This record gives sequence, structure tokens and C-alpha cells, in this order.
Amino acid sequence: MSLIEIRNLSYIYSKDTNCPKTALSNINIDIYDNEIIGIIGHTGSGKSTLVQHFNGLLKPTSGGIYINGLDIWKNPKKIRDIRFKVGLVFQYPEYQIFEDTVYKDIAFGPCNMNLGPNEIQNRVIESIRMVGLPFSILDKSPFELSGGEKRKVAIAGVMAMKPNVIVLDEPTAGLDPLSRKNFIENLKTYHSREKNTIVIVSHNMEDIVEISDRVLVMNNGRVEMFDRTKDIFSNGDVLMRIGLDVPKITKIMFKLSNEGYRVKRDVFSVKDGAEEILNLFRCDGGLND
Amino acid sequence: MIRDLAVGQYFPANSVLHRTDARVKILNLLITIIFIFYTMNYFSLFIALIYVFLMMYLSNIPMKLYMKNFKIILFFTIFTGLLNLFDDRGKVIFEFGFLKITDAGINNSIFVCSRVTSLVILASIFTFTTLPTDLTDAVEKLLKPFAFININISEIAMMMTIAIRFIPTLIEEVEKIINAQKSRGADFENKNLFVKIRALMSIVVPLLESSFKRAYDLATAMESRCYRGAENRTRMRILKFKMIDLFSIFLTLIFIFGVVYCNMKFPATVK
Amino acid sequence: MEKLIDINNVNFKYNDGNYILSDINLIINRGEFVSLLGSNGSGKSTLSKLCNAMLMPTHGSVTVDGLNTIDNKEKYNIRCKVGLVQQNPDNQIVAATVEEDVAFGPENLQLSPEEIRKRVDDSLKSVGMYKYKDSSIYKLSGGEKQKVAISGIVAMQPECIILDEPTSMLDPKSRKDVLDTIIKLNKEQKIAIILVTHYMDEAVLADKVVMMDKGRILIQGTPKEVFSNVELLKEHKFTLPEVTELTEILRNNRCDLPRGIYDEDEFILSLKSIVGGRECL
Repeated sequence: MSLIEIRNLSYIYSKDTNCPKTALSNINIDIYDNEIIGIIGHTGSGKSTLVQHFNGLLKPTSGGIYINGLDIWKNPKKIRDIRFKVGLVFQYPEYQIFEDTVYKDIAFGPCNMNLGPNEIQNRVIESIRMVGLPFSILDKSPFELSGGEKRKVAIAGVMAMKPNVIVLDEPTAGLDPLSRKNFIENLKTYHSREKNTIVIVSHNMEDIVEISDRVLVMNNGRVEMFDRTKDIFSNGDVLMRIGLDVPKITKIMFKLSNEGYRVKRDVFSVKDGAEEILNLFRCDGGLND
Repeated sequence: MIRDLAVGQYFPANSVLHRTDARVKILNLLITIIFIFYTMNYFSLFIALIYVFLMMYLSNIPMKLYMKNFKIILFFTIFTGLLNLFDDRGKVIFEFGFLKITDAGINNSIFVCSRVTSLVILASIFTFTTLPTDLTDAVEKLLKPFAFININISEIAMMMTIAIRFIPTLIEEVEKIINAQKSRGADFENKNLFVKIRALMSIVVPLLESSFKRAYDLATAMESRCYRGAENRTRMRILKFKMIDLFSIFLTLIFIFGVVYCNMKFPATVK
Repeated sequence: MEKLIDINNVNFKYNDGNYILSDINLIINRGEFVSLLGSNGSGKSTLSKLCNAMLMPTHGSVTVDGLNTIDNKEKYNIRCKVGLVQQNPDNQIVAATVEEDVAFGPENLQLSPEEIRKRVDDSLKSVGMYKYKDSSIYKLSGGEKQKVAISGIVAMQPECIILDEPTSMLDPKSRKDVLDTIIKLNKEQKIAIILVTHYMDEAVLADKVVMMDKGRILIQGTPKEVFSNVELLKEHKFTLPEVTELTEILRNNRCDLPRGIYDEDEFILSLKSIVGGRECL
């Protein structure tokens, strides 16, 4: 059974005014347990609107969203419980920190769940480890931290709720390449430990390729494609037609392939790319021994 | 949307009113509002309404924008209208149990509704046709004579400009923070005062922090764009008194004369 | 080439902190496009603020067109010559409409209304935002706002524009748009550009690349020179452009490719010359 099930979902902004805008139309997707889903699409394609439906921040204009087979809007008064099942990390989450110590801020979510003090403490400690920060940081004021550290604290705050699904909207925006790489590595470790489901929205194709099992491509409020990562990115033409990119190494392989070289088109890491090119030499005998 | 309501109502068009000096428009607005509330009988009210319609026509603003603003105050207008309907003086026209509706009540009601609506429309015309910066410039110029009370009016005008610029940004920011905290299970509907305060703090603290950051960035930006105090600047748009302003003042004078004349000539319908 | 900004042996620290910048020597020539790379906290932003007299060096000197930034009465002259565009487009726009904001700088220079009008129109045209001149700022996208911010600097007719991570908050499409605008200003109006960035693909567009690490300049030179020093960059944990990394792996596997390739097309040409254009069967 799928974990998140979205059926015929449509969403219209400012429905009651005289200028309604359709943000999502007729979305049908299934997300399974223990998957990592990447969502791509250019600005205004509906990605952010879609993920805000996952935890009930937005209510579909029509259609439904089911978690573990249950309609999340069946009882609107219970919508807060959904937020503990589906954790949503917004873009630039460092701006949501408000408590005077890192510990208290991470504990905000678990406190709202009415957990016992021991459980809260365990969760705070566990999640600060998950994001790769030292325990000594817990007693500090969040406002002494660097931008990158603050972001990790904010993400730990959502992880501490131990959601079944964690949705991250552009988590690496503005990070330098090294921090970006480390972040993705950390997230992979987190996933293999927690065995939960991750949904990551990003403009960075390298991130998406690196981490996702399947990729959802949004365009003009519709699902353009939803398939295994490999199949999405070897379909480079479709992506480029809707103004999206493929990873840089993949682009190089496309170019080589278009020049007539016998290389695979579904190459997503520099290492594999190098291997493909070296194979050319092997059968060509052109290697300078 | 709240954002549209707050400010940024300016609607670019080329009309007589768009070209009228903002100082003249402010003064016209203040004076006409006073006289609209001074309409005492149907004759003067009629003149006021003609003035309002004429202004709407001259503004070149699509009708639906006025309707949008009007919708917002519709409830308030109906409410005050109803409140005024019950006046025990005058001839009873309709009686239902203890509810008595008199001719004076009906008159009151009509006058109040027309006045409030006119007020909103005139204010809308002003915001639709005046650039925020022109507004602040005009306020600055109009307050110049009061400079002797030792307030730096240029600085205040500059602050107004920045405030107008940042209101939509901050509203957007608040929406974002609320959603982020809701996602962490913040309970804004809880009856418990302690929970409520904590939820509120979770909005206020981040908002303050980001505002400080914004203020710091903005100060850097202004300084590196050679800002050295609001007085040491020239302006791209200069408020200049033109023929069109005379025309505008002339219309207002006719309106005042009309209202005063009708008030004196005909008996008062409302107190 | 005539030098515009001369940063000579500069050290910098805030009152009682550690040194944020040490031994910086850098020359920006007239009309040059320089990119400044480095991880978060490497001192790039501090360095850029030293160039327009927002900060003063603790030791050493910064001169702009012969004017020393320490000379307080030249402060505004220097800021006219060297404009600054920051990361967050929302936080640097002062007025509520596009043309009013672009006019802000020229108004501070106390120019005549006619002159301001002309400069505002010209600069909005040069960044392709003229048709939005009456628009409210809050209705624009991030990329458009950033172009308005750039236009506000261009209207002051600077010799140089410093852009501090101008694209890091934008989506790829806007990023490209803003970048094209920057390149156009550099090519057509010969305005020198200092682009502070994380993105390798942006950095390699420059005439000169400056890599910073922990407050020092690690290496500077043309992109080719810089990306030939793969070992040094790796040692300091710089992420290489993909194509440079690919070349490096191939070189380590005894392929006869030149060093310092950072451009895809150049890579393909070089590869052709050693594999030959023929199809591999």
C-alpha cells in the first residue's frame, strides 16, 4: 500500500476573488514507504504548493490526499496530527528559530506532540547528531551560530518529531558546494538509519540525481513525469523542453553521444562518465601506453 | 489579498487625476470629505454624489477595482446603515412589534451609507492615482511649515517611503513563518494562554530577527548608494503646480459652493 | 591595462576579533571581470565591502581610481565609482516602485531632475526592465528584483559593480537572466565586475578568478591558470567544475588531455583530438 496517495488533486488560489489562479490541476501520485522522492520544476510550476498539501497546510480545492490510506481532511480538527506524521522543512528554515537555546528550539516540535521529558531529550540529542552538529551546541543561543549551523538546527527541529515522511523544500539553497555535498551525504545516512520517506524539492539537479530513487517533474501545475531517476534524466530532451536542466556530467555525455561517440546517455556521476570515456579508448586502442 | 489592501494600490494610467499634484490631491481629499459629511439635504447630497462620480470618471480606473474596495466595506456600510435606520423621531412608516421605522430613520440611513461609500471611493481614487513616493513627498512638503517644531520632516518622509516599500514584504514573511511553525505543530487555536503566547512568540521572534537583518542590509545598500541624510537629495519627480491642478481646485471649489448653497437654500433633511 | 582598484597588503579585523582577511593583494583593472570564489566565511563579502569604502582596512590600503578609501571626504566619490549589489534582492530596494528605486542613487548625488530621468530610463533599458518601470516591487520575481537592484547601481554610472552572491537566492532561469545582464554590462558598457559566487560555472565566465580560503587569497589568475592547479584546490577542499574533474580522472588514467579545462566544448574538442572523430565500434 502506498504511504502517500494523492487522487485528482486540484488547487485554486484566491478562489473566492475575481482573479482565481489554478496552481495545481488533477494530480495523481503515489509515494511508498522508505522512498526518496525528488521534485523538480521551475518557479511557479506548483512544487511548493504541492508539498504544502502533504502536511495539510493547504486544503485541496478538489480531490483528496491519503496517508496510510486515511483521508487527512476527514476530520479537519485533527489536521495538526498530520503535521507530526509529515514533517515539512521550508526554504531557508533558519528563519523559523525562536527559542533562546538550540535545545529548546529543537524541542519545540516534540513539546507540541505532548511527549514526556525523557523522550523529548532523547529525540533532541538524536536529531542534533543526525544533522552532524556537536552536542556542545545545544546550550548555545541560536543567534550565535553561523547561517549553515542555524539551518541544520532548524532541520533537526523537524527531524525530532520523527515524522514518517520528511519534506525538504530547497534545503541546500545558498550553501557552498562543499556544505551542499556534506548535507546530501548526511541526509542519506539519516535515511538509511530512520528508514523513513524523504521528499526533496530542489533546483540543483546534481543533488536530485545523487539522492532520489524516483523523480517527480512538475510543469504548469501538472505532473509532467514521475519515474525512476535514471529514466527521467536520460529523457533529457523533455526536461530541456520545459526549461529544466540535466546534471552537468550528463550533459557532457549527451554532447559526446550526439557527436557520434558510443557512450551511454544515462551517466550521472563524474566517475561513471570517466569510465565510459575510458572504454572508448579501450576499444579504440587510442590510449597512449 | 491582504497584500493588495495594505498598499501598492497604485494603478498606473494616464488621467487628469494621475497628473494632478499630490499635494493638491491630499488637500482636495481632506476638504471634500469634510463637506460630504456636511451634506444636509438631498440636493447637497446629490451634488456630492455627482462630484464623486465625476472623480471616478476622471480617474480612468476600471470599475472593478472600485468594486473590490467597496466589497471590503460592504458589511460595515450595511451595519451602520441598519443602525441608523432605527430613529424614534419622525413619522412612523413601518411598524413591526417593537421595531419602528420612521422617515427620519430612512433618511439617516441613506445619508450615512452614501457618505461612507463616497468617503471610501474618494480615498480609493486617491490611492489608485497617487504613487506612494509622491504621497510621501507631498506630506513632506505640506508639513514644511511645521518644521519649526524641530522635527526632521524629510527623514520622516523617507521612513514612510521605506515603510510602504516593506509592508508587503513583511506580510509575506509573516505568512511564511506561520506556516513553518504550524509545520512544527505550533497550536494557534489552543485556548490555553501559555500555549497561545508561546505560539505567538514563535512568530514575533523570527520576524524581529529577520527585520533586523533586513534593516542592516538596507542600511548597507542605502549607504553604498551614497545616501547622506534625507535633506541632501534632489528628486526625479518634482511636484509642480500646473494648470491641471488649478482645474482640480476649481472643481473642488464648485463642489463646496454647491453643497453650502443647497444646505442654505433648502431645509435640512438630517440633523 | 589601467588599474582601477588596488588592494595593497590588506589585513582586516573588526575591533577586537580575529583577522578576517590577511595579506590581500589584488588589482582590479578597468573593465575587467573578476570572480571571487570561496566557501561561506572565507572573507569574500568582507573583501568586497573594503572596495567601496563600506569598511576600512586595518593595515594596508585600498585605492579606487587613485582615491584612498581611508580618506573620509572621498567616501562618496568612491561609492559612485564602485557600486554594491547584495545577495537578497528584497533587502536592498528602497522605494515601492521600480523607477523610484532606480532614481534613489542619482537623487542622492543631487543631480538635476532631467539628468536623473535620463539616467533612470537608460539604466532600466540596459538591464531590460524598462517596460516594468511603473511596476510595484512586490509584484516582481526574485530575478527581476535583482535586475532592478543592478539598474539602481548602473544609474549612478559606476566604473565597477561588486555583486555579492547576486544569484544564490534565485532559481536557475533567473540566475541565467541576471548573469547575462551582468555580462552584457561588462561587455557593452565596459563596467568592471567583481562577482562573488559559489557557482563554478559562473566563476569561469570571468577574465580573472580569485580563490579565497580562510581570509587569504589562495590563488588568482585566468580560469585556465587557476583550474590547472587541481591538487592545490583539492587540498583546500574546493569543488572543481565537473568537466575539470572529469579531465583530471582521465589524465590520471593516462589520457593525453591538457590541464585546466573548464569548458565543456573545449573538453570535447580536446577529446576529439586524441580519440579521433571516428565512431568507435
